[in-house]
Amino acid sequence: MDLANLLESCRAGDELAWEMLVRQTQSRVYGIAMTYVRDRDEARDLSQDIFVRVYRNLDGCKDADRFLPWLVRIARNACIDHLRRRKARPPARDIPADEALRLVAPDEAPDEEMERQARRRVVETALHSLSEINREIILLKDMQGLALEEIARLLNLPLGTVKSRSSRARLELAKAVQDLVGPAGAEATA
Amino acid sequence: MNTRCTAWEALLDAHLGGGLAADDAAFFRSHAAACDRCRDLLRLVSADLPALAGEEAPRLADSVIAVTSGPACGRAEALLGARPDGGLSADESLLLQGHLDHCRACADLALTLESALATVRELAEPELDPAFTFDVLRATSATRARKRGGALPRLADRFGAWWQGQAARPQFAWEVAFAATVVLVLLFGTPLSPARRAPAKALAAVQASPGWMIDTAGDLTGVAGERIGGVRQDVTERRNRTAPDRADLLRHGREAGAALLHGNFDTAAQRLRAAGGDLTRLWRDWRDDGSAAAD
Repeated sequence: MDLANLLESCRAGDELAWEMLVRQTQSRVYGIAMTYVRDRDEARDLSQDIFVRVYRNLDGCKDADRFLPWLVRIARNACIDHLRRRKARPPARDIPADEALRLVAPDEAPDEEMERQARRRVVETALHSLSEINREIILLKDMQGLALEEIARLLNLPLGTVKSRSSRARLELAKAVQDLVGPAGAEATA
Repeated sequence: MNTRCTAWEALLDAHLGGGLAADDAAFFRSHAAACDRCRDLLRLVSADLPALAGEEAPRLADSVIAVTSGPACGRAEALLGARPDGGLSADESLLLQGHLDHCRACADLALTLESALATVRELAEPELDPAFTFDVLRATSATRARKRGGALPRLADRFGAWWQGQAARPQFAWEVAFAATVVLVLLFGTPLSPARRAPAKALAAVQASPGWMIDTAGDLTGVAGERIGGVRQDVTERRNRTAPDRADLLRHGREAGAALLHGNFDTAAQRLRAAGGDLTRLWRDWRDDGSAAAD
């Protein structure tokens, strides 16, 4: 079933279509939430709220080709709202970023899995050392694969600015990784 | 050097490249045989030049770059950042690769960048526990019912979401207190307030109470003990009779409060309606029996 039909069925109230759409996009939405909140449980709750928003606003996405940018836009707005609320009312406990990366890969050897976890931890920490705008550009461009035009529209920035910032943000990320693991960081993170 | 020499030099590159036409080749050979200067030049450019050995070549390049343009790492970094988008021309890619082949720092940076971006892409879709989908479906099923219900429930839904957002704000309690104070002042505290006489009436009622109480007390002390017992029994009976109504009223009131706090206005309205019904029933039960007793 292609996305256009799936969306149409969702809009018509087909519960199975909605379930399929949730299953297809949940990891992506969770990934976005994780990038913003860095806490597994919080990201999970936030993802659920994002899907409720998506469900309420399904009529707002007429064009299936633009579904992904639309989804990312809703997810981003929800995350920003959540962070604003959290700033006003901080959570009862802080959870270290390490804990947020307990991702399961049962088919890998323990050493490989540990290495992968370490690599992810380093990149996540480096990602959060970037400025907010650079982090968002990496999230939207390199993580979610949105087009530069779409990112410019989303962030309300000129296309040229997004282009140059995207390039700078990547370099900053690479340098931040090197700062964390040393100049030979390529081997450690490869 | 004459015009023939100039023409001969113009053919030199083509000769070295082996691409001379037959006529030009004849002229090239005859002039080289006749002109010493051009023959020496041909010998010089045709000979194998001694190449720089080992590490000398990069050192020379580095020292030349240091005294001319300076290191090209800045420009290489700019291209490195743009490379993942595929936005480099063939020439730019070639130039960048040439720099990376000789600059260890930039080559490290390129490798780190490549690896970091691969990891970033991995982070895009982390694994989720299977229960997540069901939680989402459960959360959206309530919304689905509202969507099917029409515009009013949807409006209530939106209002509920707004209310939840408001309730989460730290200033909310202050704002509610302020609003409540304003409402009370408007209701009772100004010369134009609709209920401006209510406080005076209430005060009068309170002031009148002691007299009534004294009268009642006098009556009570004046009558026999069974009269007191009768009043007490009557009150107890009324209390017992209305106990379920009071329990319902309390329960519905609590549920309405909880629903209101969570922004679930449909439920809150239902519970408040039920509480209203409880209150009516309670009053009727209490009063009816009183009148029956009077009869």
